[in-house]
Amino acid sequence: MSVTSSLLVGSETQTYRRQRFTTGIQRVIREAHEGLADYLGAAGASISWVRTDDEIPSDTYRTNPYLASDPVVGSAEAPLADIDTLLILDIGLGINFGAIIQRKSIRPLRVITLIHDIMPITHPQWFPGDDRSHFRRYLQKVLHVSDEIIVPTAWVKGEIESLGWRTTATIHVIHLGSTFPASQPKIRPPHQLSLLYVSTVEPRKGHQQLMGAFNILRQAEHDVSLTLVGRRGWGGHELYAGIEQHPDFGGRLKWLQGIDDNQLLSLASSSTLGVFPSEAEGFGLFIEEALSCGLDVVASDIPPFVERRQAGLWLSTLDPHSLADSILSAHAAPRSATRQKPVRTMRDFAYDVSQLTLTAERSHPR
Amino acid sequence: MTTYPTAREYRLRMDNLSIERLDGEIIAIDFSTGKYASFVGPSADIITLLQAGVSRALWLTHIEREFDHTPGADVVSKEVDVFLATLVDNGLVEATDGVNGHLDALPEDYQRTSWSTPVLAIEDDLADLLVIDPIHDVTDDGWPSKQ
Repeated sequence: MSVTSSLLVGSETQTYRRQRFTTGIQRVIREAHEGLADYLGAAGASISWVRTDDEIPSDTYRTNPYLASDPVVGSAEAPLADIDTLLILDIGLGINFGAIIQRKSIRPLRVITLIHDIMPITHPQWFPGDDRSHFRRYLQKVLHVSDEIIVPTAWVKGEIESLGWRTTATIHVIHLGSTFPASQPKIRPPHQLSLLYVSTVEPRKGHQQLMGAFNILRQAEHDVSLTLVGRRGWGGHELYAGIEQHPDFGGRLKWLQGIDDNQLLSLASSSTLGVFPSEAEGFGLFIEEALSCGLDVVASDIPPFVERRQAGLWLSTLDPHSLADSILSAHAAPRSATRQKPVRTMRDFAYDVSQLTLTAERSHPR
Repeated sequence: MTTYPTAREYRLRMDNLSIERLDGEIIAIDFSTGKYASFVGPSADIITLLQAGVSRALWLTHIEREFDHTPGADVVSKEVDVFLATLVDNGLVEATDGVNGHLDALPEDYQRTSWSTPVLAIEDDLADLLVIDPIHDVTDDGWPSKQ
């Protein structure tokens, strides 16, 4: 019998279960769970949800059909005492790390944690209240308890290492990917520019610079439209007003909130270019998502995007004139009918995480 | 009654303890009790000297070199002794026969001007304080509005 045949993986989901909305983190967890259930199951292992605290698990996620179909939170709970590997994919500020350490002292328990980014520490101005203080304590605990740490980009790995904090964990860079089925590159109408940006709307996401580029293109009398998709984030009241009071708002400039995946895919099919002008990201799912929808993407030239250079991705400095120029260049560029290399998907991510989980177990058998 | 340390060396008790420094603040997390200890400025510097295993005989040299103003060696020494006694009382440090660490300089992660009395701030586990999770519980009206 192989060492992985009875491996039980527990995914900590207490925070995830309380969510009604699907932001990037929830999407990553939902898709990772689905892939992990398949890949671990194929290896004879299994994955269930687990909690480290004594709080009554919330069922709020069930109000969201997408989250409600998560195969892991829909399974039976696994007691913390029974699991061999603990997966922490969310930012769980309420996780009881003391309980994890106690379990580790009783029986072998591998802890694998996904750190999406450490922006509350590196860019505290973009986060509310005492986020930096809370997050640094969380990160300190994660680094102390984890055996393996997954980060979505080499950029995040470097940011963690630059803190100089101690950890015995190995840090693995595993890129995330698209959740959408792959489409071939779209044929663009020569004169029509339909821009699509999917992201939470908040100051760090570069909407201000993008609006500036949109204004430049409008003033140059290009046939351009811009559709923003995403919920309001934190600290963007001036930004929201700037969008909603724009003369083109409701016409060439649209802001859609709370749309589902089918609506998003429909929007993508009627767009000609994705844009992602964010000032900082741990990863930034919309690059791969837009590419998989057949759109080229103009993105800011920040390190986590630069390390994912690929066909169809255009990088620009983050000022309105450069963005406008890059949008025109990307739109005018000749296109091949097929992508030479498939766009990375969340299935790829889940496979890599499953292999890390199984390899860690084989390296440190119970 | 607390007795003040004299010439003995001390070291941090690292069992179940995570101690990390960021921008002149050290947070020590005791996983066995769920408590946090916060050290800011001079108190963080003392913890850094303890963590590096620097002999107490050299602490004053570091302090006098890196702070613009101190109240003098006698006052600083006495304040450090009181601080060490507090750390011992809280189970964060323990006496040891000797240390052999070295530190070229204290981290340049905050502006050192005048020395101030080092203090220990103990917090209970923040989980109890996190009535609202600031990462997730953000509504359209922003934080801190509970969903």
